[in-house]
Amino acid sequence: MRTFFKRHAAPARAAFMAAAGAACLASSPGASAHAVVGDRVFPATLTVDDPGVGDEFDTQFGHIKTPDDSGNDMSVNTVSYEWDKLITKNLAFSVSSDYVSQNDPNGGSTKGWDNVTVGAKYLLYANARHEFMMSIGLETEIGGTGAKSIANSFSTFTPDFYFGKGFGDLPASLSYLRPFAITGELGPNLTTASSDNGPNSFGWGFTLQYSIPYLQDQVKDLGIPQPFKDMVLVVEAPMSTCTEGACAGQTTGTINPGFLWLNRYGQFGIEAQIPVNHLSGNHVGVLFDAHLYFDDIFPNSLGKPLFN
Amino acid sequence: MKNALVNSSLARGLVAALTLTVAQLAHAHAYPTHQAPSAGATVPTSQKDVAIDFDDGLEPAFSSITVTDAQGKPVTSGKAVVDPSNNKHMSVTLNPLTPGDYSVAWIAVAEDGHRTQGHYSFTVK
Repeated sequence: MRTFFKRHAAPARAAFMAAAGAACLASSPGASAHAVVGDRVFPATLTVDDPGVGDEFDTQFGHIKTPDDSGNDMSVNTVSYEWDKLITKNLAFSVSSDYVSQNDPNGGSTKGWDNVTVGAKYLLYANARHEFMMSIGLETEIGGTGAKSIANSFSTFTPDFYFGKGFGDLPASLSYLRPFAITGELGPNLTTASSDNGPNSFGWGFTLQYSIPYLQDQVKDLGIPQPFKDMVLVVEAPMSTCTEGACAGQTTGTINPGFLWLNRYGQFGIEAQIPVNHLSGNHVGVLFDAHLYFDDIFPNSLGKPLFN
Repeated sequence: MKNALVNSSLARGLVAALTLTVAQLAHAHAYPTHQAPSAGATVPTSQKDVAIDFDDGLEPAFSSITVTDAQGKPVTSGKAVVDPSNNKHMSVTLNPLTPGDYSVAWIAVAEDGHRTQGHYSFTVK
């Protein structure tokens, strides 16, 4: 999802696609901490980062077809990883990257590692009663650390704001809406390249979630069996709006309906990726995610903050 | 070939991670596996207690269940007790109940210190 647009594109299109890629980069490795605030668990969503911090490891596989420079479809597969490490209970560092395999029938096929991205994220505020939390972060894609055929030669800095709100505080008359939650991620993607080669963009994304565990445990036990009783239904919308150069004002992104299946030590997720417009693609893609909660698996070693 | 190698390495890594996970299953955030009465249930006035089973062992000193009536007044006859023979089970005894709506609020502190909480309602008829 992140960088497969960039190669073999005309300059204007390349600029736009680079912006789209940069924005996707900001949101794509977002599956980091699952976050607990009050009665609410915000799971690690696949493309829009959740509002919390934690000790976690995520790996993801993505497949999508997207137009190449000639307008023909090329197939892009990505395998990504992200490791999040708590330094204190509110501050986490992260490192992530992905391996991209791009199959273009017009001769643009290539494969290799994308740039390494490092990040820091700080949990600013949590309100248990209102199931609300927000964080700030800074991610840096380090230009030149990936394969030349895949990765950007320039770096991208993304200061981000994250929030999450559960609706457990709704009145009893709306109790079946309590399992809903929304999360969001907002931030500019500031590149070290010129506006022709790597224009800045603004990344924005939201999720709408409905938690079956929340419904069963806190609202009404409907006797929903496994595996459905541990599922969170989710729709994610990772978007990017180019803010300079020839692509200024153009928005790309996908709508990703899917589900997450949670257990005590991690979660699995599957989502479709539906392009929102022609610039974003013409085919539905798919994302598979496996996520480990290190704080639950290794509570006394790897999964606890370095400093309490 | 390169892809095959990558996929093979990834598969081995995932298997190792899963093996590690299984090998180290020990503690986690504790969440209910069974609640009696359950969320949204209607029960008779003969209901004697609220009992919750969790998916992890609890630290008795920091875990609790409170039950209140529609006016917010506690209706429990004592403190919640974690079963000494099964530390995943916590219960609290109730005073005689009259018809109405009741709220349960639980706090579970797992043996590794992770804290979770939840609340729900049930009705007595």
